[in-house]
Amino acid sequence: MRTNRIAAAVAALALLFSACGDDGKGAATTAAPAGTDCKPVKPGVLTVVTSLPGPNFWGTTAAEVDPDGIKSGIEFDLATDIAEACGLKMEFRNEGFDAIVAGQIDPTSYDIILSQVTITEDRAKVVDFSVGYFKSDQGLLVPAGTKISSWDDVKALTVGVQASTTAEYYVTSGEVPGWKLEKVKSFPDLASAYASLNAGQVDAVLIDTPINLGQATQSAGKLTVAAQFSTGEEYGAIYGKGNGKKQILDPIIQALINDGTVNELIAKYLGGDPSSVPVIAIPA
Amino acid sequence: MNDRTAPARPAPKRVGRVLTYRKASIVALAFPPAGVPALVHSVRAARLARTGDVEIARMEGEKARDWSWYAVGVGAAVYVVAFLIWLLTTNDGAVRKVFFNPDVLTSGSAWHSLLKGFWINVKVFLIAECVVLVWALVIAIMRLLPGDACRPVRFLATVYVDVFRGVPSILVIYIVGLGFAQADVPVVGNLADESYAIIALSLTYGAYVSEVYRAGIESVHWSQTAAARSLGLSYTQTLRHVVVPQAIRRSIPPLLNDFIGLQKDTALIGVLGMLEVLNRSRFINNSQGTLAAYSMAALLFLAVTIPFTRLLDHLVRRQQAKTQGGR
Amino acid sequence: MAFLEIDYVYKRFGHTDVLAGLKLNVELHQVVSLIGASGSGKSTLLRCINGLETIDDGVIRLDGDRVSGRGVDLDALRREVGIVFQSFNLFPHMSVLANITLAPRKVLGLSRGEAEERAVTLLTRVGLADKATEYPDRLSGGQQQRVAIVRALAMEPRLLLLDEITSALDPELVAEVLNIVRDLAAEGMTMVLATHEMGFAKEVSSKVCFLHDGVIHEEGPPSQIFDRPREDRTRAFVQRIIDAGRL
Repeated sequence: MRTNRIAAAVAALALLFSACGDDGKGAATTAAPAGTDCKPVKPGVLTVVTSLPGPNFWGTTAAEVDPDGIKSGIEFDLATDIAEACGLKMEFRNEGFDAIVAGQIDPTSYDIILSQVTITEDRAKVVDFSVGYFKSDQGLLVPAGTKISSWDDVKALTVGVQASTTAEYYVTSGEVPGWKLEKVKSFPDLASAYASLNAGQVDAVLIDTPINLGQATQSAGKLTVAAQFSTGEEYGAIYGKGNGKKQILDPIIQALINDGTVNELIAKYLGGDPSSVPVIAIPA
Repeated sequence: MNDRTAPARPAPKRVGRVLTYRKASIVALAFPPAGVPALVHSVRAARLARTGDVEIARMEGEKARDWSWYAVGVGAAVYVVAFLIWLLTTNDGAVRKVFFNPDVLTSGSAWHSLLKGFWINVKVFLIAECVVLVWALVIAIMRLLPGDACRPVRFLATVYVDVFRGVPSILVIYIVGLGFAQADVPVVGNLADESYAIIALSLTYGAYVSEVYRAGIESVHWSQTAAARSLGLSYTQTLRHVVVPQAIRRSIPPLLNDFIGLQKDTALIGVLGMLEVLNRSRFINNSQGTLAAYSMAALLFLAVTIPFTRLLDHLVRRQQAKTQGGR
Repeated sequence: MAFLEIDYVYKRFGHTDVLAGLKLNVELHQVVSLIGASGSGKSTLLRCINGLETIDDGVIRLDGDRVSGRGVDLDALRREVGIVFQSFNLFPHMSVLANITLAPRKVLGLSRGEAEERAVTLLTRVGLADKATEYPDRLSGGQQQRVAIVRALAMEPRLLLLDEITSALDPELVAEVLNIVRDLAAEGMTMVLATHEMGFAKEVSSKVCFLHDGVIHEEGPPSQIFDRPREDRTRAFVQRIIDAGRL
């Protein structure tokens, strides 16, 4: 018994060393090298961080059950395009969402974070944001047939939100006039919120419209985004505070916005146009 | 009826009353397949006792008791299974669809992804267990060092144990995994996520296991120490050759118990970002719209912890045979 | 100057003086038996001699060196003074051979071969050579106690303390243990033994000490203590022993 334990320990230690830094990643190949020197933290590679799952942004729906096999998605493609412009391969890894928005990811360990992060002032205190690449208002996902015609209709529902998101902030903090709801359930991750909705334990899930649209598509008609609420918010990529990446990579992103690439990606993956969801005003 | 002219026979001895197990039989009716026979036998027993057929009455009473026990044993099992079946089918099979969605359960690629992730959990707990085995002994001995001069050392060890037994594992993982990296501490500030997970779990479970060791060491009778010291062995030699070997043998069952806790707590390390089994479960759940991947992850954990538990039972039984069997 | 000098030693447990100014001299090669009622301090005295207990007042000297009180190298003392306990206290997780060779190897620095040679020689003398690889739980009480004696002897002590070593044995096993002590006495080993085996004490001792109230009430050759005691208490104690058929 003792020798078996030692053997297991040695084997385990050997594996540990081989595992240092190894994590679930996907990689995309590039075409011919292009111009900019993006000063990547890992040579030859654009190191991207995201918080999985991110349906339709990282991986598209039911076929992809393995994060290592992600090959598509709005932010995946965007990251790949940015990497191409830098003449680099694209590699991504997973981190916790609350660590990301609290600026807790070591800036020397990544080049850019693309994780459907809404730009807010508070978050901007601890991280640097890129230009906004995606307009995100808050959308309400409900079982098909639920009628939402006013904010009062929403108040009557039990609404699920994901912890550390702006949606949660809006409806629970009381600091945004008119938004506060009484019946809110906060979930540690989005999958639980959606599962709860499917089980009937909450009546609706509130999160960025594009994310909810993705879920609606996946539900094959059982769920719809019945309404959205204007916040004027946008998604931004995150850079380490003050580490200079913004100056290098923002122009690349801006170029992709200007030449319509981003809009194409949105149209390709969302399967639903955010602008087609009715906007309901919230009385202050 | 009593013929006084017949040769005298010794009166049948009545040892106590005839036990009819009437109340048990009535309760046993909660499970009729066994309860009804129980009640029937018990009624018969009562009737026979009154007419004086004591021996047969006793046998009927015993049968009533046996049927009552069947009612409890078989009945309880049947009710539990029935409850589970009801749970899985009620509400149009909602629970089954959410937690046991057959498409996901049979998806090879889902299992493949989860196994990849689970391998990280396994690595982490194997290494953490090795670290804990040694580290916990260090702490235990620190707490047991004798003498006034060592009071600060004992104090430090006690504080360590109190803190790491009192803080939930997930907070320790957060603080170690995110905090150390932030603080830019040399060497320790730059490790892989898995290393932080191992450190965090080793700190927490080192505290629990050190108490197990301490109890084990203190359970070695003082006469062993007396004999060893009397031969001229020093404090350290006594610990090393006489006390700790005996202590470790006794510590193994509670120690393995704590290890099962450690294995399960590896489910928490995903907050540091690596794609271990729970994070991958979430990913699958999200793309499939169920929670079935959680059930799958649970099965993976059981596949590891159950053999461990059986090993633990086996070791406990063997140890008891040794100490209580004897010559 | 005697080999072992116990000078007016006091030992307090709670409010009681278990040893209350006890004075005893033991010469080299002497065999001294301590007798007395249970709780009279026999075991406590032995444990004070090898430092397992500390004394509250008085001095103990071994071959002229102070061995009680502060600043004494107890490990060194215990190399010179061996002790055998009533409950054997063998190490259950080690074989007989390992039990005996542990201290000679770790304390005296003997090599494994030397230590085992010494162990086997001693085991042969007591008739247990064939048990060398057995574990203590497979031996009878008498055999375990003989191993315990061998374990103490393997350190080649100058003084051997025996703390009621037959009290925990079944009667038929007592003789084999006492035979060894008899042989040791014949070879000139200096011994102090606490015992209830009065017949044996009478046979083997140079001097018998009767303990009472924490001091030696009377001491003298066995013939005096057992046949012609001078003190009343001694006489009463011996008489009780005789009445119980143990002398």
